[in-house]
Amino acid sequence: MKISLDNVEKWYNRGESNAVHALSQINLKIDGGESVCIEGPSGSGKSTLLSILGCLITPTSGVALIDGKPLSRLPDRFLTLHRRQTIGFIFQQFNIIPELSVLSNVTLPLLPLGLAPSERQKRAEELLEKLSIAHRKQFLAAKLSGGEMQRTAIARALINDPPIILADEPTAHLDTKLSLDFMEVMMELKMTGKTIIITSHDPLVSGHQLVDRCLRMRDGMLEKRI
Amino acid sequence: MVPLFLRRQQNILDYALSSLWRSRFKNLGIVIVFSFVIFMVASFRLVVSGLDRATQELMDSVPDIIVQQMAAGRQIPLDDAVMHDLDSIFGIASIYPRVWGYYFDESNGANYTVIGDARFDTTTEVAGLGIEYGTEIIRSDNISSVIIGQAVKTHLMLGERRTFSLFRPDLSLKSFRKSGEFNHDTALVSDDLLVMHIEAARDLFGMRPSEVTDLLVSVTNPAEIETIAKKISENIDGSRVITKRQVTKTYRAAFGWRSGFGLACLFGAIAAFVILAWDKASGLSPDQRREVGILKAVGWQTGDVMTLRFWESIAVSLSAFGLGYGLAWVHILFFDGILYRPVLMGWSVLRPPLTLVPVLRIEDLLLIFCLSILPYLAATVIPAWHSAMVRPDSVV
Amino acid sequence: MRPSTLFFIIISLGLAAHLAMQYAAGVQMHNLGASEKQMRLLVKRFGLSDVCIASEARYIRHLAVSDPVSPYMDHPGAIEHFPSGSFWVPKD
Repeated sequence: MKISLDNVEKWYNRGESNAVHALSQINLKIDGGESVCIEGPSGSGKSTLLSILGCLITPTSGVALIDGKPLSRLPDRFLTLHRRQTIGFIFQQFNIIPELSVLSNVTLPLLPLGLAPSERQKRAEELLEKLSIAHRKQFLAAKLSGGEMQRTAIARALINDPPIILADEPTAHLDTKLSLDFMEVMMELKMTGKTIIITSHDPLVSGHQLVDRCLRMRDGMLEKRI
Repeated sequence: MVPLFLRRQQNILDYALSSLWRSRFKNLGIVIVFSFVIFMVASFRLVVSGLDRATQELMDSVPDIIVQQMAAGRQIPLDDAVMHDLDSIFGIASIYPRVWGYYFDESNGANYTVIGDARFDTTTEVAGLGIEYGTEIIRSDNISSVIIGQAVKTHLMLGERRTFSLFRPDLSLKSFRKSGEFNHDTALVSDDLLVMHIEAARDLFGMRPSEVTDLLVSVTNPAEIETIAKKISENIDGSRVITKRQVTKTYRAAFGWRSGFGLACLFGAIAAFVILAWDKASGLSPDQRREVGILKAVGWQTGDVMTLRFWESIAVSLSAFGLGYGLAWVHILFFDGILYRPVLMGWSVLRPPLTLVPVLRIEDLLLIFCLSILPYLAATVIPAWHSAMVRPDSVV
Repeated sequence: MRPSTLFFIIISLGLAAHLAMQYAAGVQMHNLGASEKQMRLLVKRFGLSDVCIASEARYIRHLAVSDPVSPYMDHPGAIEHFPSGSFWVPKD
């Protein structure tokens, strides 16, 4: 599952007084199974880059290819399908629905696929076991700790068994122990051949053995490889 | 094996129902208000359908032709000699003269219907007519026999008494002796009746001996009613000839527009509710926006989100429809439409007992469906399209 | 139990309740049969034309055989631009 960005640019509100040039001349190639960390200060464009890779937004110009498919030309419907099948996104804020249980949150991506409840539950429980959170499966997400929420978010991201995992500042709300736990989980996923892209300014992440390559971003541009 | 499409729909329906349950108090409130609106509309329609059924059952037996006399656009009595003018018309089986008037009882504000029947004598058949007893029929100058409806008996406060008096136009009293009562089961047609001999009626109203108000004409061949009616109107100058077909429209007109008037008032309630629903569906709370963003971020398409909103709306509106329509049936079937009787029965003093049996009519069901579920769906699903377009990156 | 299954069960119960009411209506109609037969005979015997729902005025009590000008004849105080006399008592 190769990822390729060619002269990708992203503008917000282009032509208006509050225009923002979020990404500028991004050229990037990531091989399948590779783990990449993207570092940079706040506002450097990391999240925007990740959103493009995650098919949440399309670039203003340039070519973004995931597994040979040009993202920028896909209509929203196909972008969503592509996202569903290819990407597992772990958000910085987790974005768990607090009124739903852990199990319901994890199985959310499976509902439109028409899977039977028993099948959905089986898949979710397997993942929750692996992430050591199965004992909380019926708990409301609002009652979870930060680490438990993150593991729920990870389980949801993995439920469709996507080949690409994206994580946006995953350790921002975690203490050291939980951060290390998170990296362990990512390591296990890397062993299964998944491509992992993490944005972070946490040295614990960028310096971890999981990371094959670390890139730095500043002012919307990729700096040299570290 | 259930097709994938249905499995998808059921999954989304599961989520929709659990989403509704999460805000159960708000959604229950909507269902209750919506049910109430549907209940009001459906009750109206069911009362009308019940009345229609009741009247249609009875009005098959109305006279073939009723002849009245008009002058200066107003009804006046006619002379019974005009019956001879109709001798030449072929196809008439019988003609009966009748005095049909109204007695206004000032003491209680009640209007009674007085029927002076030419055949009201000792051979009056009471069996099968629902008359409780009908024995001696007296026709004298001093006291006349009369058969009365239950409401008349109540409003005259007769109790066990059998004699009473009514005022003639010159304010002298005319005495009556009750020789029979129409029973409760026939109240729908007999409640306000005083049936007496035609001479007694003429005496009561101060009419001349040969005057009548109507002629009841029956024909041999029902197919010729209209033809004979036309001939009668040609034979009697200034006559008003009412055929059976015209009579059987009965209360459709009065209760059609009475219920229509009520419906018009309810339209305001329906419209207000639909506007409220639109308003609710148009604005997304931050939590709702976030939820849509999360759904789209995890792979739900815009169409899936719209399907979700559709099923939410269907669940609410279908529940409200079932509850409202069901309660309307209970209201009519077990409580005789008690909430609407004052509206539909006007301000008259006489209130006959009325057992309404609601009738399931497809057109009523469709009308209520189109007035309730469709507008609600439109008011909620159309704005849902706008909210389903929330970009995931803007909220997550 | 799935929420949708519960929903379908509730809808089915509602339908069953409605069918039961249809049956009750049928029974009631059957019970009315005897009295309706009597009423039909009364209608035929005395030449009645309307049911006695409301008797406040002849154009309501006997709508079928009243002429359109009847409301104006009966009570000058009745405001009959629209047949409102059916709803409101005319002013004294």
